[in-house]
Amino acid sequence: MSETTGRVKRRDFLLRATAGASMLAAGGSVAYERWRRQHVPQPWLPEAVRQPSQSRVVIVRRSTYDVASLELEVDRVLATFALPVSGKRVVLKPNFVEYDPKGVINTNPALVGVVAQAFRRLGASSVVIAEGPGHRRDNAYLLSASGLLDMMRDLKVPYVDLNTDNVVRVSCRSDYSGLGALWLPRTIVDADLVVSMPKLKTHHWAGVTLSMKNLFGIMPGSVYGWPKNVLHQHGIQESILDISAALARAPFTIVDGIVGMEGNGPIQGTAVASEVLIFGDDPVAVDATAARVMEVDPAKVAYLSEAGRFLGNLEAGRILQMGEPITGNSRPFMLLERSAGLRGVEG
Amino acid sequence: MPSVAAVSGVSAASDDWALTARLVSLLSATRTTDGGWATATGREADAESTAWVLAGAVLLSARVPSMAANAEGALAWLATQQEADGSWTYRRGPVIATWPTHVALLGLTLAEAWQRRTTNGPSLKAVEWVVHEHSALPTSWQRLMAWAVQRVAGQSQPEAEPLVVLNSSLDGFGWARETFPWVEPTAIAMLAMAMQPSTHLESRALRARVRIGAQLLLDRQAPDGGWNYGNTRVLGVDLPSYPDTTGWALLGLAAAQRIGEITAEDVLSARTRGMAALSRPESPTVSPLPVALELLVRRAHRLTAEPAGRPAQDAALNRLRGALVAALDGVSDGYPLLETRTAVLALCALHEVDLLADIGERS
Repeated sequence: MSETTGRVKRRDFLLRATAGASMLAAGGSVAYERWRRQHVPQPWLPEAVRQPSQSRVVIVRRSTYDVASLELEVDRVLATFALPVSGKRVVLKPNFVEYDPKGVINTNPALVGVVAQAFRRLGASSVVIAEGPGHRRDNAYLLSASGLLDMMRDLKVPYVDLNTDNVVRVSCRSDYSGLGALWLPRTIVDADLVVSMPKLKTHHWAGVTLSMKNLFGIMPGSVYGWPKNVLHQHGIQESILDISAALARAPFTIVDGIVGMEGNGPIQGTAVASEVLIFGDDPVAVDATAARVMEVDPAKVAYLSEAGRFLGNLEAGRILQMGEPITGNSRPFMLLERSAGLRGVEG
Repeated sequence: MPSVAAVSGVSAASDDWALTARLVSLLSATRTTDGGWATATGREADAESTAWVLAGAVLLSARVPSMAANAEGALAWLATQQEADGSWTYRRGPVIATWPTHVALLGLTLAEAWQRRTTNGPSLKAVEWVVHEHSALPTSWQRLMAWAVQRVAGQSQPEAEPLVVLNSSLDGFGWARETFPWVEPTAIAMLAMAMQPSTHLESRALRARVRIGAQLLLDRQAPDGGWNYGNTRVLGVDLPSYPDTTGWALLGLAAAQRIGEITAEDVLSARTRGMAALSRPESPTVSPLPVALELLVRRAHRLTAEPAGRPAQDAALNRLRGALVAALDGVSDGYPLLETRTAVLALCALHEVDLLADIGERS
């Protein structure tokens, strides 16, 4: 990390987050934003910046996982983005951090299958599903119990366990966690397009878990442990930022919010029929929109707020909202008391 | 071999040898060109897989002679991968996670006992490393800071209970050095330490690590009786256990009991609840790993000698056979349903190996 970009250590980020939280509690985000832009240096390299002048996010209203109708919708939306995937290697990263037969932790396997087929129709040379489950080491259990295995076998989609994949050292392009470099799975590094497919969920530590937090699951447990403990020790919010910045290309995102999770997410929350799918090629803009759909103010989520400074667009004015509007499709996801300060419709 | 007569309707003997052949073949396929073993075909070799192959070579040498031929190759590969300080990482390069050291020590210790060799350099350095590896425990100052940050962040009301309910002062083993201790690495480190020859077992430091490890495992037992990765209750909600981590925890406790660092009375209640969680009907039978561990736990805790032990053992063996067939079919289709360590553990379970054989006699 170049000193000229301003080296900010983890403790400084925590201090900022703390200061930000107290200022927000005292009077809102405007004062905090003004203070932050004036006083906080930029802990990222110039090449980490990938903020388009305007981001596009598509919200689709959908109440079931009916495959036939999902296929039509996914094809239509992907055509809107005109992703150059013909002949390319596409890796789908759903959220299978854990499985609970009574819960809604995971990206629905039917949706994952529909997206895999859609990218095949777009001419991708390969479509692979990849995950590095955070809590479980037993792939046979997780894949079979969750229903993912049945879908993959039906469609003949390969799966890669990112926890034990071959790894590649990638230098960090931002310096929040203090890790300096990350060991990323070869499958992710070699992909032409990573598609982050999170569930629309609240998160008891990070506030929300969406496209960016879903990328925790690409980090190999063989290097970072279970539940990715080394990253937790370096800071969840800080690690989220460094992982996102380290990727060569921003992932495309498809958020499964047909059934979301509120309350004590990401594992033990309760199901909520939020009835949306959210698509976009700027993960910050998608996450900001998804947060607004949950009636969470993205500017109050520490990692999202920080990501909005360099990794993508957070401000509603810089996001072209396509498909369904947020208004009329949002609902106040239940938040734990400790996250109540995140509530808000506009950032 | 399992009792054929006890397995109603299943020709266990022929089935088990057919399964054994498929598992041995799978292990051959995961051997890499540099002489080590990978978790699956197409991967680079790693210390965990190779160490389990070494352990399996020793434990199965009498029952599956073809496995024994893997010992020298695994030993040689592990020797080339050991770090200067005595530890192993999963693969050379990322020096972050050091948990494979526990597995490597386990494999080396078994191999040395089998070959009747005295403890040599690699395992001596490894045992020293493991005994002196410490997890990160919060200091009083850190606890105060955490409380202060919460206050500043607006959470002025004291929590009704701690965010995470556990005894954070217990020094177990993490996935990486100086990180938080978790169930699986702690249990495997305990197994490796308890397997040490008597000269090492005289070490008070080593025994203390096993003893505190057992305390940690008891502390981390989930309300449903099993163990998960290592949290029992978070934000006021009980967390469920997992079958595989329950198996590892029960093996760790058995190891501590064998060398006398925890009493049978202290283990009994935890074991009874743990076994119930491990073998309850809703536990998955689609995966070979938890069933293999259940069988190894039954042997390690000598439950097979109890009146109801044999039928339970045979029922578990049947479940293992079914799970192995399903997993091997999945592997044939290209899915990672049977990693190398699981294949080794399944072979040991199928052939009724006692992982802790000889321990106790040595101490």
